[in-house]
Amino acid sequence: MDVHVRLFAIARDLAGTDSTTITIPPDTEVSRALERIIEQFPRLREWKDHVRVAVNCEYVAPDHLLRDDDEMAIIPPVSGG
Amino acid sequence: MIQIVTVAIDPGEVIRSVRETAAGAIAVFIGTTRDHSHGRRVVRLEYEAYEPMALRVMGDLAEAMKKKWEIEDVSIVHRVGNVNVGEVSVVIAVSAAHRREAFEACRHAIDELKESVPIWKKEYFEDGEEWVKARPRSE
Repeated sequence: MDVHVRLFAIARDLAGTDSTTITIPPDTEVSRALERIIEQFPRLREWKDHVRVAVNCEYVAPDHLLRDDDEMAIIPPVSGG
Repeated sequence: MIQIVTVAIDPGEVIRSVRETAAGAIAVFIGTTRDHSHGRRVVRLEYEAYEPMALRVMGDLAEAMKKKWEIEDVSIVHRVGNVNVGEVSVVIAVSAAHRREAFEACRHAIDELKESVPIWKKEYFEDGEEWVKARPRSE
């Protein structure tokens, strides 16, 4: 299945892109998908433990299971306001 | 009123949006770009948002506030893009029957916004630029 990934702020700068698509087996956990993204963009490695992940605009836990066509966002430490 | 805008925010408009005849108080927080950060002179800030999620989280925050405090209304407006020194980046207005709830809820709103809304700011200094919280902290 395909999952659409969006990267923001420092994650986007390090990856060199604001979006990508990964093809993964159904019911892949978010933590595993994040590892796949880091394999594709190794400069994200040092941020692995410092980003949150959102799926379809909601924060999720690392064991959240992804579904086909989900939008997964890599959320570095926020700094609004 | 829960909005993300790319133009200058009019705090008066945000205040007017929460006015209720049942309210005896309106508390307002206005965030502005400061000219210094950790000893360096800031020239401007640039904000970026994951917009659909930011709007959702801001909306959820407003709803949670209404459940937690006896307040009449909440408006949150955040600007994205370039925000120069002295300009307004965010306005939060809360109306309530009484000032205690208005103040408490308003303070909570900005504290919570800064923790959870997917918006990021980049500081532009005279000699460089850096995302705020850009150095990963060791656990």
